[in-house]
Amino acid sequence: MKKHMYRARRRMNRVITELSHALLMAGGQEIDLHLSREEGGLRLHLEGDFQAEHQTAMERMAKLLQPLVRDPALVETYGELTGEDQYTEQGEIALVGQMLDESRVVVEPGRVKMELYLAY
Amino acid sequence: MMVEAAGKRVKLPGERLFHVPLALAALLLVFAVIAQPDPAVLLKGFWEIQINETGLITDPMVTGGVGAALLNASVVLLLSTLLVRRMKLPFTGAAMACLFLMAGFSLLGKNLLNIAPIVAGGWLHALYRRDSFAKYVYLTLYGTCLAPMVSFLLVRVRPGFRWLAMAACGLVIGLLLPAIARFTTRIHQGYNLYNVGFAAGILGLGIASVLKGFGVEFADGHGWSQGGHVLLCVLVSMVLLMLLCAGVLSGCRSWGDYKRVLRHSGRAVADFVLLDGPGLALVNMALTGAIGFGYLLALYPQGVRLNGPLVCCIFAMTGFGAFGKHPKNVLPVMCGAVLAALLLVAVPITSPGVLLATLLCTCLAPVAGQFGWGWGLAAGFIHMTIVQNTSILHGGMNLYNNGFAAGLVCILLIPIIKAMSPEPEED
Repeated sequence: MKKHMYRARRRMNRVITELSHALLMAGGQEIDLHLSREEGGLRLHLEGDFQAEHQTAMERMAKLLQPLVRDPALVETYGELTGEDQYTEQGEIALVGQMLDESRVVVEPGRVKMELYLAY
Repeated sequence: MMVEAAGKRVKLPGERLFHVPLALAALLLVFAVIAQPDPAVLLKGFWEIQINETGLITDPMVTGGVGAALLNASVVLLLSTLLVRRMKLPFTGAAMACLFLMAGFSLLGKNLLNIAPIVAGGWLHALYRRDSFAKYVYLTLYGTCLAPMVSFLLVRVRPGFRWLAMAACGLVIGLLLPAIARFTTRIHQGYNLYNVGFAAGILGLGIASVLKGFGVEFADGHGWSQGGHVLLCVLVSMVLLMLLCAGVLSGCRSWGDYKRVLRHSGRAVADFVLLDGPGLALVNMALTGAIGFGYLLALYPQGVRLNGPLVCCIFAMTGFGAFGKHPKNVLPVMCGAVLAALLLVAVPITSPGVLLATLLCTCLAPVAGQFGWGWGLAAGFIHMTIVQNTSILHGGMNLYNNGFAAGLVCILLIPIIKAMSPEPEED
């Protein structure tokens, strides 16, 4: 199968847009991003703070980013919606969760750490 | 299938949902046999449906009989379900919506013969992009809404060329539609749940214009049966009750459990199976479908009887009950459509086109869910007026004509709503 670097790069841009938007909406003051190109894909390490009243929302986001099932057809059908309209809540985060190939999200009080991987 | 998650063995969400479309296919088959116990007549009607012209608004129950139309729906649903299963896709809300739409629209124009070349075209699209076909299954199955164009060429082109013409047309549709559909999501930004209908309307407009340029004339096909009302009422009631029971058994046991679904705007991607679990999604499917069913039953005194196209609308509402629609966001849109039908449209509220538009305009439910009742009402109102003028553009060849009209409504309405709404307040 061909390596889809171009598609992975576009998708990663959308993932970053959605997640930085979500953290800023949750009152985040600082977001640290570290994006690295690996042999088989792109790896994003993201860490940020948020206001205490958004703890439940962040835990919900962590759940959506680490889904038990991933549906590639769902991503192909609706993937273009991410990073566009930024009015709404969970739909795009759920879609980001579907886009990723691996994800590990740890939510602490007022702080979230993510290790996300998107294969070519 | 069980997986390890956080040290515990858990069942994948939606794994059991595989049985829902299978059960529906079996039920459709049973009702097909009840409607037409003679196998020879049943199969003859089934063949008639395959080789006859379809389009907006043709009822296969007129072409081949009630039993044959249900058999057609059963076979199309079964094969679509097996395709999703073969591609190893999970049975989420997106799959439920897609499969219920396949079953529904097999009662309004899709059949085995006219969808096959489009599915093959979708496979060619995946091959061209050197990708797995699994990724394009939903787009391809939704893309079969242009199947009437395939049937049209099968019937109208002179013998000797007709099979070639229909195959070529289907392949072109299947090959091109996924690319257009991916793009159109960005235009309406997920506020039109029938996105492929919008894309198909645009592609249909292109193909129909080329064919018209060659002198082809698209006739308005029309078929509207009234014969199978009681049987179809029993069928729809059983489907909705089974979904409700399955949902309750899967864990949605109280109003407190259920009301979580109502907080979603419904804007794509609102996959209720992924967001809230299968139990809640199944109950919501039953309740959303019941709204459409209840509306049609309320019009019984005015002479409305269930038939293929109307059952199709109920199935479409039911399926998207797992993917964006819920009572709170469909009702405002439907009210707007009914209001427009009463005030503006010069056709009775019980006419086929108006009935279909009232039920299928619910693809704009996310507008009500996101921006409130008022805008939902406006969306339904505008939809009812626009949809009266869209089928002529693609020659009635796009079965998701309401999806096409809804896309146009979004282009008109969403920028206005956003310009007029205050920006969200943030700290």
